[in-house]
Amino acid sequence: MADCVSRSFGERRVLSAASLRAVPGELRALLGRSGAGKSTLLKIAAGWMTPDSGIVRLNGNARLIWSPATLARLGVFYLPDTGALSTALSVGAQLAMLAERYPAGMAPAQAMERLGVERFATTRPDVLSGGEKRRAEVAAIFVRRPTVLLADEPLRGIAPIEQERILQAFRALAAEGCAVVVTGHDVSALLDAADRVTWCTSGTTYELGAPHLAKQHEAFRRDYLGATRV
Amino acid sequence: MRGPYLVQWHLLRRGLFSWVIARATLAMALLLTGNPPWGDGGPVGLGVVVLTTALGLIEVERARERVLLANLGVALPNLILMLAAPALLGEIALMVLLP
Repeated sequence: MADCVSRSFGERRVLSAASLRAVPGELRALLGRSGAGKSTLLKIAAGWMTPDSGIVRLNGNARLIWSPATLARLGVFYLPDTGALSTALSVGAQLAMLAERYPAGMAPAQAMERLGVERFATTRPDVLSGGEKRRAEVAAIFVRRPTVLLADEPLRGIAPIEQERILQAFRALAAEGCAVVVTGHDVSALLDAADRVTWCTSGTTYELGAPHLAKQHEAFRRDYLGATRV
Repeated sequence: MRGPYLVQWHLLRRGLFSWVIARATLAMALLLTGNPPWGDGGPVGLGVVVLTTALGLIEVERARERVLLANLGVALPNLILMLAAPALLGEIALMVLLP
């Protein structure tokens, strides 16, 4: 999706030559320390931030600047760490909007039932717990049925059982052909669920391959995993 | 082609609400300064449309709705148009109906 992109914030260069691949049918974990540029890379890939250099490709089209709405219409769904649902409308109303806009996806009632949020159909997301809100957002993703899902720290601040449920849902999306990219620091859970690992460090990215190969990568172990048992 | 009516209706309703708030506030301010409550046409109407659109955009931010709208494929120019449309029509109606 993103090829050799760079991005600076004032004097600070966050990304210098970072790339991100999103492959249909694959769940990719984008890992790296805080401040390594994972979220910036995801925002660039989703059209929410313009890179200083480099390009973003989708379906054979390459551009320096994409609008988020254009990418969304082409099949990209962006799930930021701050959430993807409005606090002004009920979960059901927002899923109905997505269903009307993208009729090829799962029916809202079915998606809510799948994620166990059907009782929150008339509830606004801001009154839900972190895990419930995340599950409602994943239900929205099933309604949209995107070709590319870019999820920024979707497991942050939620219980392990909720994390498991969300990762299962992402695995199901990948099995249906969606290209899923997930960032986060829940290393064990992400490595268990992922097909591929991309390591973001020092402004660039490294393709580490399958999780078992990533775990054997010396620099990745030394500089990121540390003594974590994964 | 079938349009995303639920999104359009949501944004138009928000634009209408913002226009009513902006107009009511302006009418009170004009009355307090001894002016007619509806202003004197053109420039005031244009100001109300701009103010209404700004209020609508602030509300979109406050409700953390930008990501939802982008995921729905609503580009910023379309968003601005839908938020401004009720105010624009309302101001034209006021200009036609009021002396």
